This record gives sequence, C-alpha cells and structure tokens, in this order.
Amino acid sequence: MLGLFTYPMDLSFQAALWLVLPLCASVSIVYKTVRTEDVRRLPVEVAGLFAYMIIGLVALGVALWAIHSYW
Amino acid sequence: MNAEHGRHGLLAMVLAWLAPGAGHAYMGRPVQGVIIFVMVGATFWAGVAMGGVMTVDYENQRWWFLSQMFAGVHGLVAWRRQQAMCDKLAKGISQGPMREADRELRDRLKKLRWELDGCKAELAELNRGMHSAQAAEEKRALTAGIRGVQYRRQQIREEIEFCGLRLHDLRREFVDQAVVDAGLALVAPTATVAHVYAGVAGLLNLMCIFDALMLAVIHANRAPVPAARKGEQA
Repeated sequence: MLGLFTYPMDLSFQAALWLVLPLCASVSIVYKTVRTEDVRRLPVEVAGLFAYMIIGLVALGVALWAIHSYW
Repeated sequence: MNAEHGRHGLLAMVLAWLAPGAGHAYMGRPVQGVIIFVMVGATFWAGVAMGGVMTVDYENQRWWFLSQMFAGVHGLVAWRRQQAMCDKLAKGISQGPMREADRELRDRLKKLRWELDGCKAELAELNRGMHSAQAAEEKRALTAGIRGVQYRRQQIREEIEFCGLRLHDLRREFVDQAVVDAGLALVAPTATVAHVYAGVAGLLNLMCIFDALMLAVIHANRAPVPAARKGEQA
C-alpha cells in the first residue's frame, strides 16, 4: 500500500489527459463549497461549474489545435 | 476591527492552513469544512499516489513546493516522507563514491587556499619592492609583476568559490542520482500530473484560507442586532 505513495506510476499521455476530469471536479467542488450560501444547492452548482470548465477546456483545445494545424 | 477580532481572523487562517476546512468549521460552517478537508486531501494524495514520494521536492521543484505547502498538514507529511527518503538514500551512498568525491574536492580546496596565501605573500613582497624601487624600468617590471599576481589571485578566488559551490551541491547531485537509480524519479507525463494535482490542492486550500479570513472579518464587522429587534424576533 505504501508503495503506491512511494514509487511513481507509469502513466501514458492519453491517460494523463483524462486525469483533467477529476481535477476539474475537485476544483469545482471546493470552489462552489466556498462560494455557495446554501449547501443544498451545491450539487447543481458544482455540476454547472464542472460542465462550464470542461466545455471551456475542450473549446480552448480545439481552437489551439485548429491554429496549430491550419495557421 | 479590535484586537480580539484580529486574533479571531488569525486563528481561522492558521486552522484553515493547518487542517484544510478547519477554518470554515471554526467559523461555524462544519459541512463546508468537511467537504474542503476531504476534497483538498483527496486531490493532494491523488497527486502523491501518482508521483510517489518525490512529488514534494523542495530542491528541484520550488514553485510547486510552495503551492503544495499551502495544503497544510498534508504538505508537511509528504515533505517529511520525502526528506526521510532522501536521508535514507544519502546514508546509503555516503560510504562510497560520494565520500571519494567529497575528499577530492576538499583536497583541491586546501591546495587552492595554500596557493592563495602564496599569492598574497608574493604581492606583499612586490609592493615592498615597489616602494623601494628607484629606476623607472624596475618600477615598470614590478607593476607588470603585481598585475600578473593579482590576475592569478582572482582566478584562484573564483576557483575556490566554484569548489565551495560544488561541495555544497555534491550531496544533492548524488542523492538525485540515487533517486533515479531507486526508480523514484518523476518523468513526464507523471511528473506534470502529480505536481499539478498536489499543487492545485494547495492552491485550493489557499483560497479556503483567504475565505476563512474573510468570514472572520465579516463576522467581526457585522452590526449587532438592536435589543428591540431581538425582542421582536423572540
């Protein structure tokens, strides 16, 4: 078990790309926890921010890919 | 804001840094405190799980280290583990090639210091000669000699400085090599992901620390409810 926190994992670039999803989830949960007044509305607000971040990142990725490919 | 309220805000900040979420719990928001504690801890340790013990590295990743330290107890525990691992590796190599290189450098430093003393004595002698010299030809020759010795002295000083720095970096270089040999070194893309996870966890907690302070300030500056309205509410 401690080996898990001692030796680095062997990640591929594709796997690393998918790891942006839990990171965005974590950021949106903590951010909305700090910002929200009503905890009952937290799941909805977190889902909204998570979707916003992912859509924004995908759009940014597509735009950069387009610039890189066609400019 | 009076001194008591100032202490209140400072305590909220310290608690929020030390145990993520504790500042919010202290300010009367326990649910938020628990969520922050779980999420910051999970993000930080997910990064360490991916990157291993060298994710928190003061020597090689100072900016990431700074952001990781905002995660409070998580960052401190991970740093302690990294230090313990480096000490263990250093102990393993201190008997072998590191000791040999260390001795070589120290011998070189001793020789250079001896040469520097020689230069100083030579310069003193040349200066004395300069004072007693009468002929212009002799003075010119002494001036050239003094310049040559001064140049050599400067070179020796630079080399001493270089050797001192090498001596300082020696342990780090050998430990870095031992980290690579032990299979603990981080390489892309694992390094990036691990540093980002642990660093973002720290930065998220920095936001929570600031929010805990703001809650304390708002709490301190909130106008007290008038007695008549208190009666109405009752």
